[in-house]
Amino acid sequence: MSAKNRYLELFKLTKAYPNRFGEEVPVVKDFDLILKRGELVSLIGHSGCGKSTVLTMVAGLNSITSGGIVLDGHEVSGPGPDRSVVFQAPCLLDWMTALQNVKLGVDRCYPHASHSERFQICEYYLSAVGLGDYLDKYPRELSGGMQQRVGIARAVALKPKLLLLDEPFGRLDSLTRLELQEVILNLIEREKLTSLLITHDVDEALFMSDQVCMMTNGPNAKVGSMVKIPHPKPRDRQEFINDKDYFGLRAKLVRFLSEQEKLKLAPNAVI
Amino acid sequence: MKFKLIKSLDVAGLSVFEPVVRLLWGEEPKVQIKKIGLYIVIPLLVFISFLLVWDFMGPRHKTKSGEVPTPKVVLDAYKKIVLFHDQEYAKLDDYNREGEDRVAHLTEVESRLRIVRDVLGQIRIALEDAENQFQEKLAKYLKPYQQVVAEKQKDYQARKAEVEGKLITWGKQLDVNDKEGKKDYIKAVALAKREFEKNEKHLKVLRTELADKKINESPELVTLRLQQTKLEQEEQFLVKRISYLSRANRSLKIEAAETILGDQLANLSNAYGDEGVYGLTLNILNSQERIEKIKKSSYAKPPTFFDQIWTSIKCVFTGFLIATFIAIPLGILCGLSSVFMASMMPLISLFKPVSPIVWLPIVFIIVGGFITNPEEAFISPAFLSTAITVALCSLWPTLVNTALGVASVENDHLNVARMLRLNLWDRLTKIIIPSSLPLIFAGLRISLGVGWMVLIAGELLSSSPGLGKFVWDMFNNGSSETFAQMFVVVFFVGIIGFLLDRLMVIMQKLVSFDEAVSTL
Repeated sequence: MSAKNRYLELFKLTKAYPNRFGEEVPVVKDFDLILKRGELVSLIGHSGCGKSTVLTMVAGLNSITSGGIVLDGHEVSGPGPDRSVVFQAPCLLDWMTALQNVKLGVDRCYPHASHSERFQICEYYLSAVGLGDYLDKYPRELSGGMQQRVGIARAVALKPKLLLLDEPFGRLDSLTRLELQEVILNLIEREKLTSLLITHDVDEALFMSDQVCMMTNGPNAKVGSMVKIPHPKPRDRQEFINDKDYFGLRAKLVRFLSEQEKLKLAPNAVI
Repeated sequence: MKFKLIKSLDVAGLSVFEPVVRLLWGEEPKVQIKKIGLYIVIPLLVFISFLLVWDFMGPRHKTKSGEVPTPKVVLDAYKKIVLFHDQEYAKLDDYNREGEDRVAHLTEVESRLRIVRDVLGQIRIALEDAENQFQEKLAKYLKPYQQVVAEKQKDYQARKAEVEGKLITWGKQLDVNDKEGKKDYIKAVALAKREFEKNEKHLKVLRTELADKKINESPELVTLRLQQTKLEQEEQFLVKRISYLSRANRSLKIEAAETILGDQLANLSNAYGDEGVYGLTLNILNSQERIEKIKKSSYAKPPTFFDQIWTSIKCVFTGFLIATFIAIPLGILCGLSSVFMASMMPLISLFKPVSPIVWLPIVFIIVGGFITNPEEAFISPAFLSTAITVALCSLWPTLVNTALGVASVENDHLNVARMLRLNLWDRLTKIIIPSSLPLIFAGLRISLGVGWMVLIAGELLSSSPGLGKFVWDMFNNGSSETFAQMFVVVFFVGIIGFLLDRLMVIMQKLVSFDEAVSTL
């Protein structure tokens, strides 16, 4: 395979935490995943299965026990602005305006740009997420959805090689959630970003992804199965839901999740 | 406007007065009046009852500095303090006045002095009259009692003379061998002696009773006396003012010195040969130096109460700033590195509980080692050591709170910093310090409170000018007036402490992303 097809590669990725006897218990074990450039892959699984652990390892915020991560031909070690994260909570700095929050990252990533150029970059991305009129507002003056928009603008403004979305809509109501899904998809389309999305919402995974990676329950979580969503992007939500394949794909995901649920309740039962 | 006021009150931590503002705008008068009653009137009533209890209890305890002063006495003492302050500043101004201004003031003060002396003369006469009247009245009142005593005394003396006469005659008649007779005689003398002693004692009791008999002075007499003292004090003050406006005035002193200098210069220009040119020149130089000295001189004003307050506030802020500059960087380091924290822990635990009373003498000696010549130093060593003691005692709350604030920065925020690969400086200035500012300011607020308390004790011990020294001077003076002035200090220390605390509350609100502040 060419480098284009192996843009991000997770190879036998393992994360283990010691239990109280000091014995290493792997949460995630031998996790293999390959992303093509420009692809959006969602990780779906039950809560606690280790989705977030995989993402934080890719982000470099969590150390890797064994295995490796290669992004665009370089091995990943430690955090960096080339893999920006949209966290579940907006994680904005309360003492800075929306603009300053975005600019904090822009200042780091465009060291040679002039002051006004940086300002324009921030303004551009904030407008792209629909906050053109809210540049000078402090986080406490913005609604939860707007705060998350700032978080998205901050992540995308870094021009990352990989956009990591850690349940970015987890704390939002369902209407805002639908709005923000469109916002992110638009940005990804426009910036040709490759991204990894963590979610536990089946519909969200289906609508947004090119591939869905279903994870087995931890400990020793790994890739249970991969599902390709062949529909071309950009997708229209209404058309997509009415598509003939949609329910088949959805059923496949739901079935996997409920099987995992049963396993979790009765690990030794034969299905 | 209404909401602006309410928000300002909230920021200042005075939201108790919010119902008053709302009432002024006529918003739900019933609710507001109820709130005012509950949270303003009741506390006021409690304060008033405190004053009443004090007023009742105070005079019941007698000390060698007089009774414990009542609120009224304390208020009078405060007025005296203010009067002293005003008078000293008037003298200071007088000393510096020159030209027509000085003359105008001089005539004004002189005319006032004439009035005061006139009134004083009248009062003295009236007072003499009143005094005589009172003495007459007193004599009249005491006369019957005195007569009783005199009569009794006369009776007893007569009785004594009579009994003694009889006994002496009987003694002469006794035979040498009359043993029985002598025994009886002894008994009789003993009986008589006992009677005399009893009578003496009775007389003594009567005399003490007489001495305790008195009538109250008439109220006019009391007022007249008070007026007299007050006017005498004003007279003294005016006399002093006149002296500072005339012969002790700076501009006049300079003029006088310059006249002498002029004469000396004239002498020098005419002098030659054996007439002592060298000596004349030396005199001229001395005169010139003297003029320079007078020009720079100022009235040697003793520090008044309000000067002392100002010195104390300067001192507490000097100490507080020193504490802040030490505590915040150390606190940040402690919060950032657990190793640094662990290494600092023994020192912090060791020095934190040490009382200011122990620090002060040590600091005083150490500072004395640096400032060997206190007169020429730009800062008084007593002031500096008090400030350093304040710093040593007040830096701990800030240190601990800063460490806590820095250590408890939200993990999410730190993750953002790691994702952006911010360097240490950016991480500190953009994330860690801003997010721990509310806690740092909470610490600073406690520190300033501690500092203010330590300061008074420190000044008292080190004799550094300030409120503490004021209390110490008053204590050493030991009169009932100074006793009351110490109570004045209690109120001032309390009020200033409260204001300092409010100041810090406002600062704390300003840095804590508070809604009221941002929309003010």
